[in-house]
Amino acid sequence: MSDERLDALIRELARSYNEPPEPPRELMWARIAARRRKTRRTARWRWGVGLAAMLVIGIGIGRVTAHRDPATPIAEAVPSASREAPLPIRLAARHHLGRTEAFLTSYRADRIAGRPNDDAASWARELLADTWLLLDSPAADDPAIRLLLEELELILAQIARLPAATPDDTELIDQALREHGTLSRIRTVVSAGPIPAGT
Amino acid sequence: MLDERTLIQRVLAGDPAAERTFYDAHVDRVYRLAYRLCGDEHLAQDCTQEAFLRAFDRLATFRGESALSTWLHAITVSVTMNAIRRVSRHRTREIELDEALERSDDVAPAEPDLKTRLHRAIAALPELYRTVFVMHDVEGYTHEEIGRMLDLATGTSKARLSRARAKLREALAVFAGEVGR
Repeated sequence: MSDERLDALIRELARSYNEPPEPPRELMWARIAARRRKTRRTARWRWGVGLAAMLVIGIGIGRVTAHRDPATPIAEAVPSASREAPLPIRLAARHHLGRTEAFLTSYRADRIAGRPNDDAASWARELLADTWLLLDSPAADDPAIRLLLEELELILAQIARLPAATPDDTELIDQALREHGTLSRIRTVVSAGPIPAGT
Repeated sequence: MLDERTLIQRVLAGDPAAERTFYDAHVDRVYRLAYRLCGDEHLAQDCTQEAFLRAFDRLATFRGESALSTWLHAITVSVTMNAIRRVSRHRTREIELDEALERSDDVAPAEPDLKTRLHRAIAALPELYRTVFVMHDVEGYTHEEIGRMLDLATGTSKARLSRARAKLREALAVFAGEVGR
């Protein structure tokens, strides 16, 4: 038998080498999802600690820079950018808005497609906690950001109680997302880079 | 149906539903590849799970220089080969081709058929050759894809396949000659 014929025979017979059975998709996914939940919990904890640390540093910087020399006239001591939140806080706010936008996009896509999203409520609760932290931070000194965060607070709070929500509640969430243009406003802020003062 | 870029962004944002969509799109191929390489159901499951977990963790490093599936399969091959090495260290079952053939001749009570003999010969190939042979001749990857997945030059992949086929021809020559007559 020639090498070519033998190679063809080998390829033919090799197709049944270690022939895979049907993959146990749900079993494997259950294990992956469990590990991912654990990873997310750790990441949330780290994110919360990180955000809190940034806020503390930012507030500290804000206080230090707000102290003015008594000899300096008030007009000079309060420059126009004095209301700008420190960079770490602006970065944290931007990151948070980016995550919230991804979540709301995902939530809306699932609603439109009629797909269940069992993790939506817990995800919303996590984002809601971060929204509260930011509302209490200098990031919310900017009226536009404060308004956006307050809108998100309402929407996230409604999604967070989804398991107990009525169809009317879910319709209200959809309506809020549709009519207030929340998502497009978040995208505008996120794509503009670290939130500048007076956004 | 989400496009790949949107799906990646959603996975990166931590969306569990997007992770499931990603998994559903790739799990069959990943499991199949892992199983073909290791031939063990439980090990293939472990490797599939590990490959997806690593992919989710490292997705931010995916630059789109190759297809997402090629990137994921490269992780699968790496995870599976490491698992095989780990297991084989325990089992110390790395058998050189010649030894395997001698042993099969000595031990087998009856002459195995050509297919069984071939499967044994594939299993006994050195890892370098077996991996390329399985990926190319069994799973149908191109040499370019194999090169990207195993971080090899395309020519090296071709050379390893050629060597693997030569070893298999050697192993089957006498038996195949009888069949071919």
